[in-house]
Amino acid sequence: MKTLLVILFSSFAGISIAQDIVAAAGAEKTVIGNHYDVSLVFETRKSWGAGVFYQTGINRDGGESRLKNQFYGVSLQAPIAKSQRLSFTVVLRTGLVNEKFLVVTPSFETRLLITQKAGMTVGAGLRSGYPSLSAKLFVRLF
Amino acid sequence: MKTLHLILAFITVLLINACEPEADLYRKFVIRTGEHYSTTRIVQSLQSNNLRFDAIFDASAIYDFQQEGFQDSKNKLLGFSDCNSLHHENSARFVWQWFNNRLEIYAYCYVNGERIEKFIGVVNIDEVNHYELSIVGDRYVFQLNHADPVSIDRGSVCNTGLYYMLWPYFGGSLPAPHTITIQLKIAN
Repeated sequence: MKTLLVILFSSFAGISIAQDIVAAAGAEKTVIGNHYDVSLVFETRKSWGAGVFYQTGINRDGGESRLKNQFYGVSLQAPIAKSQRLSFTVVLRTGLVNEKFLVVTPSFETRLLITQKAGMTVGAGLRSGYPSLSAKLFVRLF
Repeated sequence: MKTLHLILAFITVLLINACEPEADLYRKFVIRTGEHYSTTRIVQSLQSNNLRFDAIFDASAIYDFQQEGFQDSKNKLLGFSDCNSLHHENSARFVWQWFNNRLEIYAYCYVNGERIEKFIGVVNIDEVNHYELSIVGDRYVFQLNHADPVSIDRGSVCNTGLYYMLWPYFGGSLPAPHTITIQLKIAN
């Protein structure tokens, strides 16, 4: 996993100098329940990006909360179209679920810049063979 | 203020979204006359140690090849290939056959390339039955409804990697003699 991260980051650094590091947090409604995620993406001027993410569901049994279906790994982002405040991207997340199962999930995201540094993203993807919906808030760190 | 409104709208959408009723998750798999593979074709990987699902067979599961050698060929229901293995190397599946005028369910595994089958039980047509296939340490554990579990030892495979799902397939060597329909709902 570490090797994969190093290769991804170095290849993107070769293509273009980063414009932003984008931190995001949000939720995804999937067929296996609601999941909550955080991510850090290294993004180029043209909205290409690569980053890392962590996502988990929460199981509430008898008043006790436990994390379920933890999913972490790397994400790749490719631009489709972009205007001043709105952009459309395709995102591919690859990682491990429950520390064991390799999973690839594609999604299509629409991003709206609300202020100069922050905004929101809504997306539709495929998770566990069924459609999923996501919403996130993001902030550009640098 | 505009920003605040947008954030509130965002949170509202999330909350409303969380209160939606559950969707019907049954998928209909159809194996057409003369075919082995079912449609819809889906690419999916396993995401936990337990594959739990409900299945409904209808009268199309009844067939007669008039030769025992073909009649007891196992038709695949659902399962997965084990860690980074092809399914003829290491895999575990529930399979079925119409034999002795009843619908028989078996555990069906490839373990280091060797095929292993064990009888599990009998199910009825047009009835919902619950199936569980779990990876428990070095074993696959199969359970049909509340019957006693059946276990088969796993081969020497890795632990972390790709476990791709294996969907309904007719055969055996002979293709479906008529269109066969199976409904599956994977529990999450």
